Parts: sequence; C-alpha cells; structure tokens
Amino acid sequence: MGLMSDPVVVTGLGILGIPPLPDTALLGQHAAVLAGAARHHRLLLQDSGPATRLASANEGPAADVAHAYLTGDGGPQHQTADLADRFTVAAAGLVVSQHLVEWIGTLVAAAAVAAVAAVAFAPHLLPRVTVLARRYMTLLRDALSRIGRIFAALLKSPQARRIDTVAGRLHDTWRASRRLPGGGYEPRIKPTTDQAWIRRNGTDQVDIANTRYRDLPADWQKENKESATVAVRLVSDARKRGDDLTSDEFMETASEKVHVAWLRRNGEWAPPEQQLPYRELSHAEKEKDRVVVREALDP
Amino acid sequence: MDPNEVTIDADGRRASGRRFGTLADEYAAFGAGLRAEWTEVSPLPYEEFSMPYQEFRHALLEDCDRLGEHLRHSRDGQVVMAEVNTLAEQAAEAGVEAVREDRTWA
Repeated sequence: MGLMSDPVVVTGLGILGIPPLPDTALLGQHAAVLAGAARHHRLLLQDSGPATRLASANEGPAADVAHAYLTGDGGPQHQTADLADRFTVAAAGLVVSQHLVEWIGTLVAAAAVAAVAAVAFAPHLLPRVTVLARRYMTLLRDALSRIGRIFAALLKSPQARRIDTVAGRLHDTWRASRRLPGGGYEPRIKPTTDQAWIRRNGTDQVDIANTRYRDLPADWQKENKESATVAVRLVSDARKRGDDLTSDEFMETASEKVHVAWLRRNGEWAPPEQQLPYRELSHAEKEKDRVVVREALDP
Repeated sequence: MDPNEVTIDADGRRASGRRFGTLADEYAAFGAGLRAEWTEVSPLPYEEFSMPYQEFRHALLEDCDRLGEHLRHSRDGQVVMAEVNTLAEQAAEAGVEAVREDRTWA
C-alpha cells in the first residue's frame, strides 16, 4: 500500500506505535485465483451433466447404481457444485478483506498524519488520536476475525455443514417455547467446561436460550449435534437407496433409530417414560424423535 | 421402470467414459495450475485471518484432489461397465443363436 510508505505516515505510525498495514496486492491475487477456480468448477458442472447423460439409455439395477454414484450426494457432480460454491464465497471473502484493509488503512494513515501534527502543534491531542487509531485497528482485527470464521466454516464437508444447520434448527425449536413478547428468550444459564469458549467469553456461564447454536460452547452444542448427525445420515442413506422419504414408514423407522441412538447416549439418566422401546413411547415422546427427522428432511 | 427391465447401451457407456476421461485430464491440469497459482503465503499477516485461511486452502486443495479421483473413477467405471455390457450382449446373442440352432435341428 503506497499510503503506508509515505514518510509522514511512517513517522505518525511510529508515534502511535502501530505497525503499517500490509499491502493488499496479494489479497487481490488470491481473490482472482479463487474466482477463476470457482468459474472452472461451474464449467465442469455444466460438462459433467452431458457426460453422465451419454450413458442414460442404460437401464436396470446396475445402471441405477452407476447413476446414483455420479449424481448422488458425495458424487463428482455434487462435489463439483460444492467446490464451486466454496471457491465463490472464499473469493468474495478475500475481496471484502481487501476493501476493508484499504479502507481502515486510509483511516489509520489519516490518524498517523494527525499524530505528527499533534506532536508539532497540539501535544495534548495525541492521546485522543492514539485511542482513535487503536480503535480503527480493533475494528479491522474484529472484522478479519469474522472473515476467518467464514473460512473455518467453509472447511467443513457438505454433510458436516448440513449437520450444523439441522442442529441449529433443533436448538431454535427448543428455545422457541421460551420466546418473550418483547424479543429475546427466557434465560437459561448453564455452566460450561469448554475452555476455548471460556477464554473467548471470560466466563464459564452461558445463557443457552439467548445464544445462537453456532455461538454455544461445544458441550452445549453436543446433544443437538449428535441427534442431527444420526438423522442427517439416515436421510442421506435413504436418499441413496431411493427410499420414499415422504412415507410414514420412513418417518417411523428413522424416528425409531434416532430414539435408539438417543437412549444409547442418555440412557443412564433418562426418566422411565423415555427408557422404553420407540413403539411403546407416548405420542408426545415419539414426536420429539420425529422432530429431529423432520428437521433433517427439510431442505 | 420395472426393476427387472434391463437396457444395455454399451456405446453410450463407452462415450460417457471417454468424456469423463477428458474431464479428468482437464481437471488434473487445472489442479496443477491451481496449486502453483494459489501460493502458500498468507495474504494477510493477522493470525485470526491467516490460520483459518491456510487450513481452508489445505482442505480445498485436498477436496480438489478427491474430485480428480472421482472423475477418474467415473471414467474407469463407465469403461468397465461398457465392457461388461458388451460381454453381456455377446452372451445374450450367443444364447439366442443357440436357441435358434436348437429350433433348426429340432
């Protein structure tokens, strides 16, 4: 960044004790590479359709399996579409980062010039300029941290992202009954042992009702994540087999498996009315398992 | 479709295999170019950005490798199925011929 090498700005940054902001050229280069990769994957997606269709006159069980491999979850078409999306989002993240660094860079450079002027003409203003410049830097680091979290989210496989979505819905379903008329939820404070979360938040107490799923500590995400994992896999496997996902039979079979997995995890403390085989549960108890399956079925 | 109904189009399967082969080769070339262009140097020195970004780069390159493998498997699978289909057609033709000959001799 040319601005950062200006002698007055360099002097001002020295006075403020702030290192110069980095050159954004590399961000632009990486963004261009990723945008190109996104384009390549979109073209590949277009081309793989006809490649699959060339064999579409084949019919029979083996042909169905081959078709499911090529077009189903985890198949090359699905993977290509997922990579196209992830490269697109990442390229956009880099472009936003570039603009952000340039914008904050301008503000910090202005503060640096003001610091030089303050030293020369109004030393009493220097502390205020320093506070302002540091606030700009905090703003930049916070924003970059959020973009970093987007990259972390893009690391996950489509199935892992799906599990997070379903787990988030289960959390929202649970807290819906605690919604307050004026906004927010009736608080439910719980202790956590997630050390990384405690370090980030400076406390081991979390209001699980007023916290979004993705911001919960790992121990309070765990149960919804486990249920979502079971249900997402059941739906994915059934889709691969070509089962009718709208049938009552699928709903009941899948709900039974969700219940069995839940009992395996929570059987030690579960109350007697929940320690029954699925078929012997009350309607209300069965409904809890069906909700998990329904959320996994929702697009 | 009747689950027992089988239609064999070995030529279509073979053409599909060839097309997936081309796509796999093109993708391998793209992957090599991407690795060269997408340098390991983080575009920003701040760790809250650079750490997840580097992990993301590593994971996406691995996913690209995996897609390359899938495209090659798709090519190989179509080629193998085409061969099997051709053998099945030949076996079916041989069976029909044998039946015809039986009828002729009968």
